[in-house]
Amino acid sequence: MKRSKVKVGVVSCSGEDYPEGTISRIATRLIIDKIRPGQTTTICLPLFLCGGENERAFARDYPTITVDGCSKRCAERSTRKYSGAPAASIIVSEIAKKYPFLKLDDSDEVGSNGMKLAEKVADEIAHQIDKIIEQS
Amino acid sequence: METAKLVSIVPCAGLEKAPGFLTCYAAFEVVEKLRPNTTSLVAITPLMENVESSVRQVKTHPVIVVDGCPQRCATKLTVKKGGRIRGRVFIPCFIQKHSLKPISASDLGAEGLQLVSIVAQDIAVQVDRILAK
Repeated sequence: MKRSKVKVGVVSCSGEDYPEGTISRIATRLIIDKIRPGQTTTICLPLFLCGGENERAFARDYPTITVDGCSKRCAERSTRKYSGAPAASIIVSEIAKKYPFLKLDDSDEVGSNGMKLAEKVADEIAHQIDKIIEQS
Repeated sequence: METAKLVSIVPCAGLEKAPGFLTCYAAFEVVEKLRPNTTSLVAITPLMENVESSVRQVKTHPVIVVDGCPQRCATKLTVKKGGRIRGRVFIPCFIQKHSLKPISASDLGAEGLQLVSIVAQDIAVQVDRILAK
């Protein structure tokens, strides 16, 4: 059973080989550090995948939002596999389609378009957090 | 069989703490700037999720793992997927050795960025050593 009035976990993909993966990480940090500090936390996905019991227990016991860079949905699939269905799933490439003018390049430099897209993704995460908290 | 023309870099990319974030920046530095023609980046999540291209990359090329903490997730997952580790980087050792400390995961700070550069250089040296063999 999910505990109410608790933190929401945000699990970001670590797809560094696509710009959208980097955007998912930046958006997650924006949420944790600036937009919803105190209401949210993140878990270390590599440790979660490696079998970290605390990480897996967290995603089992608390509502979790997965943030994936692409349609492979690795963060969502992993969360589903080890801890159960996430409360919400966000895919950066889907959000990016709504903002075609924010074109990303393949460089590791995120640039102003990338930062703007990360903010849009963070807005969507915040919206999902509000919905989850409202329902709890 | 190993193809020693390209080296795969597997950073742990742990989002939770600064050293995990640092592994990513250092890996980017190597793949994008220092050794763009001889290295490729392998993300840990698709590797764990058996995405074919990622698994193939660690099986067919020598791997350098970059771990941010003593859990050594990049190492464990690479081994689990049958990757051949030929080089390792462990961020806490670099922090201790150079007395440089990143501020946080969202802001590495000047010392963190300096550390990124040092770690990236070390990875590049390891890449050259592996390819020279």
